[in-house]
Amino acid sequence: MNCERCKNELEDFLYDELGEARGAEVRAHLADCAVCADLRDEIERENEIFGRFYEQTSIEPAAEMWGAIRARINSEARERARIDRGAWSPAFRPLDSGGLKAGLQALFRRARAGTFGRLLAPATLRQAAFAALLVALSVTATTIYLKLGDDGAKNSARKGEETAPSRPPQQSVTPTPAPSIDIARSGEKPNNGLSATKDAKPPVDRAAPPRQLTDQELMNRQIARAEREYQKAIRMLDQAIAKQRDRLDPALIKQYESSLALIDDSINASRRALRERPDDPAAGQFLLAAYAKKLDLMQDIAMK
Amino acid sequence: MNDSIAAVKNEKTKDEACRKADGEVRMAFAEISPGVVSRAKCGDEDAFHLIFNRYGRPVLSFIHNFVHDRELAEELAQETFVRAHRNLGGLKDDLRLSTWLFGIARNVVREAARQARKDDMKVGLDEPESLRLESKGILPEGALLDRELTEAIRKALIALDEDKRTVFSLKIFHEKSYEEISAITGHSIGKLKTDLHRARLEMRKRIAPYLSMGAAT
Repeated sequence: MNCERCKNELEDFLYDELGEARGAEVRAHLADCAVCADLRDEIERENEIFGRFYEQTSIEPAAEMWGAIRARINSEARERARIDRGAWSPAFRPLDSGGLKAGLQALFRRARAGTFGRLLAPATLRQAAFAALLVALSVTATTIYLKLGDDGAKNSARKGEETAPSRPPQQSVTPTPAPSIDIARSGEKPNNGLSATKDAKPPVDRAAPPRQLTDQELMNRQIARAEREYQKAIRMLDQAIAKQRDRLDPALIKQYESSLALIDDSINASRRALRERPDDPAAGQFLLAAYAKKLDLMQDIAMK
Repeated sequence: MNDSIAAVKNEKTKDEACRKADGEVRMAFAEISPGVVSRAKCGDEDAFHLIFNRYGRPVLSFIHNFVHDRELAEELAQETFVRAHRNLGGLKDDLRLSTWLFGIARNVVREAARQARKDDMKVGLDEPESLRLESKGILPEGALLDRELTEAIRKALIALDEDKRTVFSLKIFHEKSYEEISAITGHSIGKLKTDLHRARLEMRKRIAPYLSMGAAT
């Protein structure tokens, strides 16, 4: 071994980071070379000084520090327990206005909480919360509408023959419904083929009464809309998380990604179930609950 | 039905693991055994307190090397331990607890630095507020030299860039291996060795006058 190589490996040798064989080579060289041995002594002396410096300057945590950590840990545990108690995520309780309020409060409280809550761009959080609010309002509105519709149907049944005879509900439904505005916006083409060209549009009968949707259709449409709102919120959070990804703990990212994969599986399974049983309201609820869970998880990560 | 049986089994297994770990908690006073970590993962506050007692000082000192403000360092150390508690379940290898904690601490410091830059704080990271030599009182010559050397080292540390300071602090003060530092920082071992070597040269240059004074006296 020459001096050059010894200098290069000396620090690793002193930190015990060289293998047995190379360590032995350095040791042998140091025994024969006074220059390299001086360098070793200098490094050892410096290390001793740095060690003393650390001993003198390292600080003990203040007595109250554990108390503060404990208080924060307990408060987080309580918050988590509160969230876990609900069947729906607090960010999305569509059928319960109290839940909606609590969800939004939790959303903003979490945004404000902690020293680093402010690191998340408030605009993104506001947008995500707004998207979640839209979902909640939209489904709540549907529920109210459906409830009112039921009452209305009962009322009109009571009124009997006073009004013009109405067609049975089944007849009021267009066999091939026109695409909703939302679907048209999203670029999906209707499957009846009539609107493929502008000229092929069927004449609009302005005198015809507005087409009534069945409860089922309305709910499906609302579920589709809610799904789009969730996807919008998820996209926003995804961008926020991508921006701060490099400063997140790698273990946390791993855990986050595996949880996300599980939730995505659940979303896909719910979507399949909804396709197979479109008249089953539980399938739609499962789908939205899975989205809510995903949003919740992403918010947690985005606010870390 | 099957699900509930499986859930009960899981709970039982978890309870057994926690009970087993409980025995190890009482044994672990000086060093943190994986059993303590398992116990903390099960939600045992005492076990987490042990972890804090063991790593509170090194983590706080590591952070203090970057922020040089005790209050801020304590705030960031507190954040580090709260995050650690929150994400303890994500720690795959219990033996790497200290590496993992330093990694969190480093992230917390970097976030704080970013935030401080954003806020354009007047007193913040690397403000030499705590570096002024206290001239009150007359000290014996040796003590004065020691104090000057301490301040020289502190200033030399501050002058290092973030990467060099991180590797220097973890290697020299906390005696971490290159592999552990690589896990904490995400940097290659080659880069770490280069940074450490350059850090040492810079430190040597800055403290050399004080060392020669010490040798002369």
